[in-house]
Amino acid sequence: MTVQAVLIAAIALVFTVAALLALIRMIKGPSILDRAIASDVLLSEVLCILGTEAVINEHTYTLPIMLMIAATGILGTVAVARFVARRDRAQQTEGEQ
Amino acid sequence: MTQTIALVLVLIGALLCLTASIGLLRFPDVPARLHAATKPQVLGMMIIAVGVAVALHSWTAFAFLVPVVLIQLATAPISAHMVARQAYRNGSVDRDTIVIDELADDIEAQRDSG
Repeated sequence: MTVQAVLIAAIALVFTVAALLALIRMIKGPSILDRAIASDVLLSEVLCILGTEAVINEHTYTLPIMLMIAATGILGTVAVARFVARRDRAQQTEGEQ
Repeated sequence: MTQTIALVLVLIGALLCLTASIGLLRFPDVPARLHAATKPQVLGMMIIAVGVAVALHSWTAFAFLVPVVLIQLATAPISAHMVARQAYRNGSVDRDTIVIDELADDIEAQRDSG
């Protein structure tokens, strides 16, 4: 086994464990904000894995996908944060009445 | 040789992803988890981008990776800020761990004024 094969195996193992831990937090919650953060982390891990794929196979096909994920990844988290804001305000006005 | 250097850089980035996930799982409340979550988004992504540039050693790939890192640097604080703001207003923050809470005074003052 060459040094590179060992490195690739180690990278695959580390990314697998990292993605599984983020998934556990996404399932456990407890609040929707925790899930938003976990999905954000999972998305940035996907971004890192696409970069890793470009390094291992030495091609540039994944670079445009990385660009688009970096540009649009923010939208999900921001939408969830705004949704929480509206629900909060609705609950507050209900409490005041 | 350049392939090995690139793989070592990617391994460092992968370990940063792992620390973020461990922090996400073990830290108690939303701001602490947010603190852990920003590691792969900025530093891990930058190290892996350097790794890709080293492995491909072409200026075209480098020109593609610079906007990726810049966009990531610009957007990660926005989403983190919005989530932290909602966590504070939602009460998901553990108040006992806050030493100085200037935002509470500001919210109080705003509420009093109108």
